[in-house]
Amino acid sequence: MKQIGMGLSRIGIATAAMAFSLPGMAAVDRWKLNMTPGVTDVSQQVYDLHMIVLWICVVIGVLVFGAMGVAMFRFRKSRGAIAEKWAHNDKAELVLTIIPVLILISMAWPATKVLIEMADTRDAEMTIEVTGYQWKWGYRYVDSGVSFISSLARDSDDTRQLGSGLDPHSVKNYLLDVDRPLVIPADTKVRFVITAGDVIHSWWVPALGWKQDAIPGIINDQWTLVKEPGIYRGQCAELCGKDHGFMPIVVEVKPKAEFEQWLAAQQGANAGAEPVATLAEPVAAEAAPSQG
Amino acid sequence: MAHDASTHHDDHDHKPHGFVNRWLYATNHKDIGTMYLVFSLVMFFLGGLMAMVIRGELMFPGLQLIEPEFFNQMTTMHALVMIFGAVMPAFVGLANWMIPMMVGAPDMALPRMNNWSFWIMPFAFTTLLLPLALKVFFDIGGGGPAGGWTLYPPLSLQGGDSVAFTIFAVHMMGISSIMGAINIIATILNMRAPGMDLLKMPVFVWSWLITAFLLIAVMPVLAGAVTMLLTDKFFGTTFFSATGGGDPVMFQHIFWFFGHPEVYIMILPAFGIVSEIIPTFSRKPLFGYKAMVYAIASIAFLSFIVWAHHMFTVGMPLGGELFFMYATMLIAVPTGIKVFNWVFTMWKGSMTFETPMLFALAFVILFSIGGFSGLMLAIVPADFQYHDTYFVVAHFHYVLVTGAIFSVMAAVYYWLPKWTGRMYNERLGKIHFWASAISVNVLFFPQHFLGLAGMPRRIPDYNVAFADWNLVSSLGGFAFGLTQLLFAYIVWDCSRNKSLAKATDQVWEGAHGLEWTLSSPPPYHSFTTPPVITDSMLAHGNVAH
Amino acid sequence: MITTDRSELDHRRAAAKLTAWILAGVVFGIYGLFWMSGVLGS
Repeated sequence: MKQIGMGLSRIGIATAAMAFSLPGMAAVDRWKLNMTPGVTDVSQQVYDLHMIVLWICVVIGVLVFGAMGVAMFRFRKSRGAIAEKWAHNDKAELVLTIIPVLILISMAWPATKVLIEMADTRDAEMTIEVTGYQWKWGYRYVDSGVSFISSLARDSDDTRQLGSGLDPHSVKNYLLDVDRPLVIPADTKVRFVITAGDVIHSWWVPALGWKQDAIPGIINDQWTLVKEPGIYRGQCAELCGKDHGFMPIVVEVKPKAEFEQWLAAQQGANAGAEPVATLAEPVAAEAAPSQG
Repeated sequence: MAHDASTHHDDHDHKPHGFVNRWLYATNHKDIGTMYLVFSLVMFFLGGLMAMVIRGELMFPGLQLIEPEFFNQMTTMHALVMIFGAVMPAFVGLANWMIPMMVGAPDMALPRMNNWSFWIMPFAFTTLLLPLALKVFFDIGGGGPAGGWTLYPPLSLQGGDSVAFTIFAVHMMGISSIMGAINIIATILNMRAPGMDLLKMPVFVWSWLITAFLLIAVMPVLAGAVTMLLTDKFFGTTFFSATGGGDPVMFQHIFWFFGHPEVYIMILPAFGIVSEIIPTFSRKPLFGYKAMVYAIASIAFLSFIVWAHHMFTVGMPLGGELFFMYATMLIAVPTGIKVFNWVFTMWKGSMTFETPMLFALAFVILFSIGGFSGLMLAIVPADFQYHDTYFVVAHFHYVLVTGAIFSVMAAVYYWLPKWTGRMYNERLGKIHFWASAISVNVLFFPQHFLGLAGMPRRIPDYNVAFADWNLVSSLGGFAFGLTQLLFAYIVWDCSRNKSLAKATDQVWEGAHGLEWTLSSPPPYHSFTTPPVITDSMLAHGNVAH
Repeated sequence: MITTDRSELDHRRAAAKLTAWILAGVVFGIYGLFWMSGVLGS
């Protein structure tokens, strides 16, 4: 009960935070309704596809439920409706079979086009190996050998403990922040090869428009090409044990030149730690990169 | 239940006396049907309690009530209990009660096997729930399975001894379902009264005939899959372990080859129920009877070739993704036919809105919403975003709660006066309907938004951006949970309260079918002499023209 | 009249028993098939 009460007081805090928009607190996008259009061509196409299908469903829904509504209003016994006897109409049944088929074809066509584009991982300019562990992500830049582990940021981790007494609203990017984000260059086709070290995970950053399962013993691939530098967040999307909810993903997209600088700095710092870099907790090579 | 046999005064139909004789040695289809339904209601509340724990934890960001490990046990057990304990036994109970009465048989074809089918269930669920109960009540062991009801390896193999309990329980449930299905098929194919041709059977009977075939086809597959899991865990095989040359994805293929037909096992009988109720309260024969039967059959066929749409993100080849996308989209065609035909049945009818009809109408609308989100999920590129988010959670709860469970409630209200011989309290029934229909949408509709906004499923805690809709959803959940206590009361009241109005044989003005020609309550053995069947007795009238 | 009804019902029951045995065979067949697929597939 006490904890519920605490939760209620948290609502109060959140509302206050909204009302006065405390300085330094990132505006949280509340009451969100829809999918993100994302930041890549592909994610935009996925979003468009989602909206097309959604609107088709809405239109069909309005027609069918509207017809039901009319029937329920007009043909009620209390209004003196007398039931007719007919029980089939071959023409209507045929028409109502053919129309859905046509609608489905009109959906399948663009879906197929987008899917074929998403499956094409050729001509990538760089490759990053993503490995899921319980409960953190390992990243390795295949071409340069830089590798590190990325796990839940400390403040989120402290706050999320049962009965921690800390307020999730006061943590910036609660549960969506890591100690070391994945850094990729803007304007570059990056290929991800995705696998796992223990159980199945799934690597998902909504802004990139896809998720891909990370499966032990299997290597999956996906790609992205982000034009705008920025920070994009996601989470593990396949149940992977007790801390499944606590292994976020942060992708920082830097302009090409800045990325090269960053990579060079990592290569220098990584040289000493490399033999154990994929499994052990990484040595903090630099101060935790700034977020937000 | 103990005094049930003694309080009944109608000795003339040879009811066995005493609790053990009447219930433990039960071979009567009505008694077994009743036991199935009561068992299902108990499991519904047990699974519902777990859902309340889940929604309680998800009410606010941060962890307030339970550890993440226990949260995972709750989601896993909630699913197993609701699917295998609540929805499936409810439909089997309805089949037991109604099929012999609907086809003009004295009882099920194999009454003693019927007894066995039911009595395996309590033992199966004791086994399933034991590890969790030991943990919760005595702090012994590690608790129940926590790897999700889909039991995906390698995660499910990380569980402790509960893995063995779960697998053993699944085997028992499987055996029970298979025997139930064999009995239903044998009853429908061989026990029909002369003149009850296949294409004169009520749609509910048709839907169960097809469902039973699905059960027979896929339950052994599940048994095979979990047995391989068992040997992987305890006997050193490596069917699903990459380090030993196995393949974790192979489990998912085998599991969903069972799992997709399984979801239709949970919805086809619902189609049958709604196809009985809507004509009754529209006072007009079912529109397109044959199309309805063929649509059920096509959905059943398609259910075998769409399983991998649960696995679009495992990294299948492009050709595989396309095939499963097209096949899945195709299901919309027969499903659409069914919805259109229900609407046509109402059109130019003479409708009244008693509780069963209200639930049936809500079924049509809310199940269709679940169907729409299902169609969206079939679109592979969009599924890459939807997959394993709350959008999926919203989708399958629309088809299972407002689909399957609403249909079961509709069926209970529809046939309860026939079973007990008394009319249930209609005013309370209507209150139950409206409270359920509103709260269930408050509960599940916001979950669409959460999923689209990026909240993964099966997480105990979330970013504050998801806090508002989670709170709304939890409040809806508590309201829905409480409302169901009213349902239990109405059913109990109808079976016990002698002051309620007596039901006529036909019960509902527009009802047709053999079951309405029997008395209310019906005699202990349904049709000991085969009835003479005329077209006017049947719900869909003469289908020949 | 009663006797003819009885034999008619017995006839139906016997047919039902045969159906049940055939279906049980199908069940074991499918179970075996999937075991085989597991053994061969891994």
